[in-house]
Amino acid sequence: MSTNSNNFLKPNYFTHIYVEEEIIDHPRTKQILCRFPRAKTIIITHYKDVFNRTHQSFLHQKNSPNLILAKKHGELILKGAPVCQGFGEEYFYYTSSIMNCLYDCEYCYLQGMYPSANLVVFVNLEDIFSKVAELLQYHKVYLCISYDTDLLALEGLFGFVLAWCEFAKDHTDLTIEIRTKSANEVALKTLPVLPNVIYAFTLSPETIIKNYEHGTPSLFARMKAIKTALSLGHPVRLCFDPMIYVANYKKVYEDFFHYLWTKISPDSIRDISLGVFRVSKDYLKRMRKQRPQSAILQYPYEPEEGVAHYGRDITNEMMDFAYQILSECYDKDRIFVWE
Amino acid sequence: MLYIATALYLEASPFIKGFGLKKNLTYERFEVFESEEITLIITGISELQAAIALTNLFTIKNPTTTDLLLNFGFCGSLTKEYALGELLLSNKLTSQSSPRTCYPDLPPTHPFKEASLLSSNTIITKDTAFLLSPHTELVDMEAYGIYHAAIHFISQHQMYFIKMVSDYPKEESSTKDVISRSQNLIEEGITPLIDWCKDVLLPSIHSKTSNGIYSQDLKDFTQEVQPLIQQLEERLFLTSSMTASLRQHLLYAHCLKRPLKTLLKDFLNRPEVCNCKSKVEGKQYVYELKQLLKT
Repeated sequence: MSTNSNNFLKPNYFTHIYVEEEIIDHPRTKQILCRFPRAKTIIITHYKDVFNRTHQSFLHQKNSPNLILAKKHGELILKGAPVCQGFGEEYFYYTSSIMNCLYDCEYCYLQGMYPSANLVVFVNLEDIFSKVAELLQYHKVYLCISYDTDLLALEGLFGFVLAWCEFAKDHTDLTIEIRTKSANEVALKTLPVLPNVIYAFTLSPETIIKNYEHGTPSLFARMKAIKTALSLGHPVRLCFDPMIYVANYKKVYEDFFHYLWTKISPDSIRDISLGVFRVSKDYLKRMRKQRPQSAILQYPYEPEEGVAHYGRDITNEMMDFAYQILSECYDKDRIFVWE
Repeated sequence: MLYIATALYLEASPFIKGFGLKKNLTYERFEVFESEEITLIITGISELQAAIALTNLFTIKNPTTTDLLLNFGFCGSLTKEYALGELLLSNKLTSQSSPRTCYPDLPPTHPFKEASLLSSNTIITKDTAFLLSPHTELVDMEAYGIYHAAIHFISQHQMYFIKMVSDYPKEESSTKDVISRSQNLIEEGITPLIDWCKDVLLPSIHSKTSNGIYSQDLKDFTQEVQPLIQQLEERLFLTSSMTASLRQHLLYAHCLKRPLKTLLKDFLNRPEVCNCKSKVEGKQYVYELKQLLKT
């Protein structure tokens, strides 16, 4: 487990740790419990007994999330969802070894997908590794491991990125994407540099970060972490996804893209992902209930095949605009646009 | 509002005295004591009694998202780790009558120790309790019923189950013995709970960060905009789905703090809107209004 500091945690985080009886003696459970010596441990039968309770307030729990340690059963690896960018990869999968995130982005689909804001950590990573190894016998695998969480932000607590890196080191047909909004330079400096482990930094203009990405590092801090990652040789992807529609979005995003290229060299970036905000219609309904005052959620989205989006006109306008600006400095073939 | 549910008058009395609660005689089925910010109900003994009483109260009072519920009562401790008179917050509720376990949300900080609790409708021995729920530490007769009634009205984070150890269940313990000893225990040990109610629970009900503020804001929005939407509906021949879509646009504009009332009144006063003659024409105007609200 990484020795990074967990000072960013607020004192009211993880005051209670629910542990499934089945994994109480698992070495990773013991390691994690050692990290939180003052937390009260509550033994449970199944994580869903706590996580899936009715009448939970996602927003309330966000202020003081608890931890649930569990064993992952069932489908350990899933095929990539249509709303996700697949980067042209034929064998595109994702897996969730941690559910939920410490950040509180107002537009985050997790608040519509999960009934609880508590973090579930599946300690049986080795079972997931076995499943990936099984798939690798048949074909290459492109695996996103940090979709429903931010593993790099949590690296100081759980060390899952390191565990995945160690696995990826021995499996060169596996490519891992670690999506993050963190600025965890300490972790980036200690993690092994591997050509098949991509750090995908989600970036937004500072005004979007301030207004909607609550608790996330500033643009400046994220840029600094990207520069560190690049200087160490980590493969870096930039994700401008989701782009958020605001009245003056052209000015906001144009300034942002220009600022970006003054700080980092476009040639050093592996590729770029571009997409506007879209979310499952059902999730949006629940998200609106959680945050009825949120302009970003109350936008009159257009539903299409179960997905709510800005509508063809605005989506195309925003995509064309961003693509145009980015392609002035960056190879068009390496800009992946979600459609 | 802070709701307090106790099984017995003995358990209720420190709250009645401490907060100057007055009996509300309009409740015929259960004893209810009230002040401006506290409502206390004496439910009677057993899970079922507790559930019925609380359901009755909550049906009448219709608690809001900012209200809280405290269930207080005596319990037996299956371990000597907890002293007689000690106050404990329950973090896990099981029942003799159901295989399901419940986990109410817990406050990140509080002055009490925490323990797991088994609710049983009959007096049970330590061995039986462990058989039913291996990790249980406390036994009472109401908490599980209170939880199941309350969860239909309020959220997981709005309820607290605090118990005072009154005995250590033995083979031949009786309710009568326990109650006679409990009078002294409650007088000596209840102060930290009363203080917690005063210092933490009551102020948090009035906290402005709560979701209730947003609910109120939404009500204000509906009140302000609904009559104008009705006028638009009539003037522009809107269908119900067109109205729903327009309402979403208005809500978005409201979240952006745009002056909706003025904007809508100006729009309604436009000559072409006043003279709108068909659904097709109305559709065009409502499109224009939506564009106006989105930008």
